[in-house]
Amino acid sequence: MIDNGLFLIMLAFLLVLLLSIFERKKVRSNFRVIPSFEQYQRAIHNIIESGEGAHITLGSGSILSPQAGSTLAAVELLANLSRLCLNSDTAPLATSGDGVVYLLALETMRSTNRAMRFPHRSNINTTQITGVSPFSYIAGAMLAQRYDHRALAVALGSFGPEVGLLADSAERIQAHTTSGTDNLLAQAVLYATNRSPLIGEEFFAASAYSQPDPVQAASLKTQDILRLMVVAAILIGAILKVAGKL
Amino acid sequence: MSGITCTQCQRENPEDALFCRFCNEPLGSQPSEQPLPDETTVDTAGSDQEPIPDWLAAIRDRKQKESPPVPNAEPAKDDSTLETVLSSLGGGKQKNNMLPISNEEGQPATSDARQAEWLSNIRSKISDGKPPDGEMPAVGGEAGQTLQQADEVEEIGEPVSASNINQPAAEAEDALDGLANTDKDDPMLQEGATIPECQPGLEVTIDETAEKIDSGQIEPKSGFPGKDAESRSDSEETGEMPVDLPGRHLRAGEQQSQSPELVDALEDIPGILPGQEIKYHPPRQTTAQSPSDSTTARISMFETTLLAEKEEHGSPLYKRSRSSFIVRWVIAALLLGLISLVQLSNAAPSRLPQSIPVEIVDFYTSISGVRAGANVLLILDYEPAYAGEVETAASAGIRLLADKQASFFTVSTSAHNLFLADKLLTAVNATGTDLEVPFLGTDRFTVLGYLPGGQSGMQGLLRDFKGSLPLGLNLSRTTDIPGLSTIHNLNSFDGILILTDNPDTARTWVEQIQPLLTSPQLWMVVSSQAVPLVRPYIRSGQIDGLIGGMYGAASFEQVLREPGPATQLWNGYYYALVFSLFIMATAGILNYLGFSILKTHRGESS
Amino acid sequence: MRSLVPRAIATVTGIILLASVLITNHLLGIVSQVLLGWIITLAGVAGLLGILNLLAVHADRVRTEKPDWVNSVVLLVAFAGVFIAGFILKPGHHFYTSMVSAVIVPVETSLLALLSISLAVAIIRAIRPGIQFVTILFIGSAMLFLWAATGFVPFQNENQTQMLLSFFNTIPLGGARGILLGVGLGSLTAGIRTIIRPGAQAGE
Repeated sequence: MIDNGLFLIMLAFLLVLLLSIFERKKVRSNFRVIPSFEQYQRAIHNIIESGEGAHITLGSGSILSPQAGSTLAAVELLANLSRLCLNSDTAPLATSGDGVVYLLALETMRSTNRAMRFPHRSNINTTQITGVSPFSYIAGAMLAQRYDHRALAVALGSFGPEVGLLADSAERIQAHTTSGTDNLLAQAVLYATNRSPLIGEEFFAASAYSQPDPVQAASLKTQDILRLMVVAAILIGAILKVAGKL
Repeated sequence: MSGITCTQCQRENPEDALFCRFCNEPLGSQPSEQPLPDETTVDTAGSDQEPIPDWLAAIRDRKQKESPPVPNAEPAKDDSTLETVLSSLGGGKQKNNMLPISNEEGQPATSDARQAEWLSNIRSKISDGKPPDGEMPAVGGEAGQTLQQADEVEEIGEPVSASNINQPAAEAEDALDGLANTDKDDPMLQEGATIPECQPGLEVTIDETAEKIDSGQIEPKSGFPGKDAESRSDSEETGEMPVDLPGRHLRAGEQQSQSPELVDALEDIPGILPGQEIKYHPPRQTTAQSPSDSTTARISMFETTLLAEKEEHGSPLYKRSRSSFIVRWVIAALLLGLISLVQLSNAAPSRLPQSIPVEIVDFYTSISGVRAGANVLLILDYEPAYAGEVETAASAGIRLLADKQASFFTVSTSAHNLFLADKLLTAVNATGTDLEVPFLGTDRFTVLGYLPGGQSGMQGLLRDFKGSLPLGLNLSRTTDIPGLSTIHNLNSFDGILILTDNPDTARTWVEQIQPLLTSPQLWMVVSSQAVPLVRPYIRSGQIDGLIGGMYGAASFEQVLREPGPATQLWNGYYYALVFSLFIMATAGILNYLGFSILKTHRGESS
Repeated sequence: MRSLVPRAIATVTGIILLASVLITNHLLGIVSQVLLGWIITLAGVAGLLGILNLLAVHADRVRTEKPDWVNSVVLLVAFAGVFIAGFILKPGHHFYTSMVSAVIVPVETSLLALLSISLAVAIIRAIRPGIQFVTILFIGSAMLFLWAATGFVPFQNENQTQMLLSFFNTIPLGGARGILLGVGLGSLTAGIRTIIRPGAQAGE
């Protein structure tokens, strides 16, 4: 007897694998437009041109928690952002509120800098853990944002509603703010305080938009396929239930 | 186009690209390891010239109309090429001796003799301090016109973002000015003079360069590695920069059409720089002095960024209305003042909730059914920031259990609230005036400390409770705690009360742990922010009772008919909510009207 | 080769842990328990490294006398104080827990209060000419639920009012469930991406 969860995971695994193999030439063929993501990309180009820095904060979602998925997606975007920011005079600042996320960010920044032959850009100040509890982390990130006067503040990963404080402090120094999180409360707060919030699964799609490759594109297509299946299941279930009652 | 296919996104890129223009992946080997094919200069044939942006074309047209016809200028040719410059210098006679700039592969380079001829021509003219025969149209003519156009473009505010790429243009301008003026006093024409504002390590004297070209160390056409073995070996022997700078390898037509900024930043460089090779092939350049890998990569990355920008965007000017600190302070002061006033007035609670939510009734029913002396596990999973709300909400429920002589064991699933268990029981003691046996100083309340591992740790409790929590908060062994002697796993408890502000934690308990629970009741006390997401589990029967925030706590105290902390705080809470609603609506309307008036005023004044 | 070993470890560990959650097998359970123990220990070590980084950053701020470096001095002194007190008194000591919570709780509660003010100001600022329909919906629903939290809903015991309230309550619940499903699927595929291509997170 196969567990439902196991079936879903195996199905998703197979879909990602097969789609990345058979449709590797159709990378980014029909991605829909995500306005927030476009604003985010434009902001990156702007800060590169103006030589200002970006601040990306990766949340405090432990890798051992259900929030691990959002942390991994955030780190993927960090890799892309840090690579793009190599053009800027100012190295991006990555902050986090969890030890493992900090190490992931550190390794990501170092790998990117090594690959692009800028090893000197990695130092203790470019990757920081600003606090170990959610509020102390956000308070520390607010201070880092203010001290370094970053023109782009990106909040990606797992946060609580307290992330609204960071968005607010970034707004006060007239920085562009972008966010993506798996936490519904944080999404609600960020919707009110952020310039370009990524809602729901848009955040998980962002890495495919910024770094299109067969696996990313396949995972995006897999998401869509699974979503359609879920919608169909809900509809069929509802119809059957109503029919059963009747 | 025979380009390079990106291994990541499988998209075609120009053959000289180092990084994919679509996904920024490095193409092939790293810049320092992959000598690029022969440089691609701008095709000087007028017919082959790629279209330029409309705004630039308009400026050119206008300038062309305004400028008087220039004698001996080549009208049909690109006005920004070395050909034009040299033909102008030489009165058109040396057209055949000019630097070959065609980018057709395999085309043999101009002979050394020819190079020597045209260069010696220049040198003799420079050394004479006189202009060459014929007119001197280089600056005033079309070649100079392009520079003027570039200046004009800059003046009218078109983005010129790449200062490091623009720099060669400035150098070229200086160099051409020097040639045109042919002033011996001009430091540009002094022997050994360097082109001003050159990048460090790229300084080159005109004279030395000419000598290099004479001696064949610099191949104007094919002196770049990757074109032919001979020139490459020459380059290596003389210690020239072995790798070309990718930022210079811009296919003008292709890239202009994609990036308006690139058009602006680089449009005048290839043509204007008659000494382009001179500039990037310094005779004294050794491998050690060559631009570092990081410089090379930086230039290429910059190029990629420019290409990614399909439309022209100005420099960042985030227009923000500065948040008014005064508004914040006013709201904060008013709220604080109101709550303090209401609480200090000690008035009887008014407007208590009249509608009791169904989950509150469930909570009461479920707890009432617990046996006396039950073992209850308290899971603390709330941030200190929410301690006030969650503790207030939990207080009545814990007191009800305490009345049943329950034994409590607390586990923190978040390291940040490790110290809150003490505070919780202190709060319960303080409010529970009718408790027969207070918690403090008794063994009915055991603080077991922090459970690491998140969800995995929770699942571990299901298998082996004491194994997952080997040590208590005081670093004492949990196996030595008398109250835990009958506890083996989560199913050994009579009830589990989860205190959380996080709907994700609640969801994890319900979806991952609850299905495996056999006997214990599962109750939750959550912050009001989590109520909407947790309430569906009551409907589905996965939770046996729920108290949500102040509203739920006040309702529960009404059910118990025992005014507790929630009832005491209700007045302040209620009036703060009403006032917040009022102030948001009022200030919002005022904000709307203010902006409307401002907009109208601006419209009239403009 | 150097990056192959960590990738292989990451992939195998991920698959084993995933399988142990979904498949009931004694051997798999034992292996996953051991792996989990290692992972928790490593996560703890990572936390320690993070704290060291925090201290290093603030020490650097003090050394280079960056703006507001005095705040960093306060942080370092407070850290040392709490650390030493914890060692001497043990974490379970009543005085120690009271001392720590007496600082943490008011500070964090103040930050939460600040957040409520920021959100109120954000809503006020959002009400301006040119406001979008979606923003109106957002503000309207926020105010509606704020009002509902007061418990002062006229005729709330009437059947029709109950139906209306239930309807309004169901809309955000449905939306939240939809977003959660999307987030769940996104997390799932992000995890699978990591298993298929572990270097993706490091930008490789």
